[in-house]
Amino acid sequence: MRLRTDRRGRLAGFGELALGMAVEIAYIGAFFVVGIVVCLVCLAFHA
Amino acid sequence: MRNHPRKEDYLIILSYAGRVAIGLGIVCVAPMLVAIAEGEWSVLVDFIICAGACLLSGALLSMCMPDDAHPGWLHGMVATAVSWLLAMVLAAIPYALSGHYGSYLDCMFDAMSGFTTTGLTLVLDLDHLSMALNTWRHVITFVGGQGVVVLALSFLIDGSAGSYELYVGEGKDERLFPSVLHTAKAIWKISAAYFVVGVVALWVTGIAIGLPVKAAFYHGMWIYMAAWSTGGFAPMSQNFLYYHSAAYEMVSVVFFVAGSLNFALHHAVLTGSRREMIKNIETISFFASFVILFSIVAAGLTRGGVYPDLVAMMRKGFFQVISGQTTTGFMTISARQFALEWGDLALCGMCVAMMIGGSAGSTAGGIKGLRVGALLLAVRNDGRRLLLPPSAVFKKKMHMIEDRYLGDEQVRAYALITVLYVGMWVFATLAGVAAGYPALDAAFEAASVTGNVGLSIGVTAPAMPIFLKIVYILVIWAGRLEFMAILALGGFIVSAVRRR
Amino acid sequence: MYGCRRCALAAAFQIMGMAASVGAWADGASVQTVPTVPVQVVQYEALLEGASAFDGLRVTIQGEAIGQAMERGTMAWVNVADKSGAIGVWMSAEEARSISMLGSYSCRGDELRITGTFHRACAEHGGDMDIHAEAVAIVRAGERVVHPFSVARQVTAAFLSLAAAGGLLLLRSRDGKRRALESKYAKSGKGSGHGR
Repeated sequence: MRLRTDRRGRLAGFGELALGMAVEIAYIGAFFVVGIVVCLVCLAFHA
Repeated sequence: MRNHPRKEDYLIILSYAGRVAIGLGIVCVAPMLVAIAEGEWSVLVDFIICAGACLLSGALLSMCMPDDAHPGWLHGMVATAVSWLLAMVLAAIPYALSGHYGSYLDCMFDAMSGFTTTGLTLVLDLDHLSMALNTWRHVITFVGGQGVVVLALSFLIDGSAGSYELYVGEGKDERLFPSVLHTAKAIWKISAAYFVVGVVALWVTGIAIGLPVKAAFYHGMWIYMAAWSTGGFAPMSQNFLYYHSAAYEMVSVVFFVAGSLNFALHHAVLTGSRREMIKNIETISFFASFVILFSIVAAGLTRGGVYPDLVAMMRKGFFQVISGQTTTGFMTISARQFALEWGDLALCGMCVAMMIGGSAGSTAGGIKGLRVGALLLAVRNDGRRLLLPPSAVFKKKMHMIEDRYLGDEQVRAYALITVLYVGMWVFATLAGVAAGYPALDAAFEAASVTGNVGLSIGVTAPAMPIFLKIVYILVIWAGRLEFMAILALGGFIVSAVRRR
Repeated sequence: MYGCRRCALAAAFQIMGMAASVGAWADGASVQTVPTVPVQVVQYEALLEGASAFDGLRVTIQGEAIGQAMERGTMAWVNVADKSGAIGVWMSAEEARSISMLGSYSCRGDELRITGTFHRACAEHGGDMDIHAEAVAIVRAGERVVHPFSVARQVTAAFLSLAAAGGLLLLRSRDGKRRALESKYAKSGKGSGHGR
């Protein structure tokens, strides 16, 4: 699902931008998930 | 440029520095508007002085450009290095006039810390700083993050010769577009889009956590600028601890991690190539190194029983590690708590995280995920070469926006810069130890300074020895420009004094 | 030995805290004038350096309320700064609203004396170093701060503005002349051109 980009590749379309931001935020969210898992493992180990 | 610089070479460099000074003078408008809005009239006068000094010196220097100039690669590099020093001297003016600093050197330290998006500060009584001056602190990290040079190019030089060299001298390796002006404008567009989303998100969150509407807007704007530029200045002396809010912390994490990503990656993902997010060597390297380093830090923290539960581990442990690795530098603990509570294992993990840093072509500092990822791939390739028969052929490539060849030449370049970073860290650590600080404290602060991070273990303080302040200024300057421009300047100076 | 020292400190603070609290709670109100019983005020720096020793103890601090009071439901955060640093104080929203002025550029905030339980890494507040206030007293009301104008600076500003304006106009005319020259050379195919 690719919206138009012009020849110079400029950001095209609000929808594409929003989707792209969502993907980036999802990637960042993965760090939180990993962080929580690591914390839980470490806390359990030292409990 | 011939071996021995001629008068023309000096003039070209000075004139480019002048253009940057003019850009800085225009940036003064932001704090001036705040001073007017808030009725901070004496501060307005201070900024008029600063703007006047920037514009006057900029105009005089810009007029130095010879009529038949032939600017080249080396001019751009040296001009970049010189511009940052000039910007540091000029941007220190409002700080000095505020009375919140012990000396002009302290003011220049904060100015350089701002432009390089480091975030270490020598300010006194930050809680009573004017709104306009706080705006200045945050705006210069934002501008520095975008590249003082790119700013000048976007608005002042109309595609003139030598501008590509200036851009490359900035340390942003990626060329989004063939034309430097288009790249600069694309960088600004990506930043503008995130700016709108980020300021609104932080403003709303600020109101939700109990800040008055106007204060929530100012804090949101300042924190956004510090987050996106991975700068790490915060408007209050307690840094992020001032807000006492998990929500505010986590929202800021989103924006400072986004700010630490390569602009070329942003451009790819935001224009449809969303798979790039998981194929890119830097996103993979960043994620992998974070998992390992946070595990080390978390192990150290839980072993020492530093934090009581999951929430505290996330809000203190996770936050500091991600703030450190993205080289942002926001802190939700006091500097001294690193030294007193965290323990050596966690601190070592932090040092490595700060040194690795964020992505290339972003506002982040450090060795960069690209180099770390590429060097690890190179190690893997060399391992394969040892194990496989000599006639075996295997691909030596890495994916960054597109598949790129990872040959010996590329690996050598990455390894060289990595060695320079580590060497500079050793130098900064030695300086700290020579100044009388404990070794791990000195190493931590040195990693923060080398990677333009901004987390502090307590070494950076107004009472710090003068020579250490100067060392740190030089290190944060060199680290931000990723050495090339500094080496060019060094070479230029050597060739100027030789054969006289 | 570490345990004994901690106990002694705990006992000392309990006694002092109790003495201060008696006055504070006598009339059922939590905000009042300075208590008559002298209390040992601890500096923020001492709390920070000795955080493990002070953890969970009742302490008394004195400092300026700064920034903004952040109400969170029936409670509120007020950050209090003394000369050595600032710490977050968790108090009731009512107590927070009784603070008339919070420190900023334009004013010095109310000076507060706060007695409460210190936490090195508060379990209720995600590991924050904080004080849960039991008594909040306003020792001195805040006041507006006047930042005087300097004539010398105004003169300097005016002079630099004029000089800068002049310089920029000169630069603009020079840039314009150079551009005209470049386009003339480009059209005629002559000239030094640009390049590396």
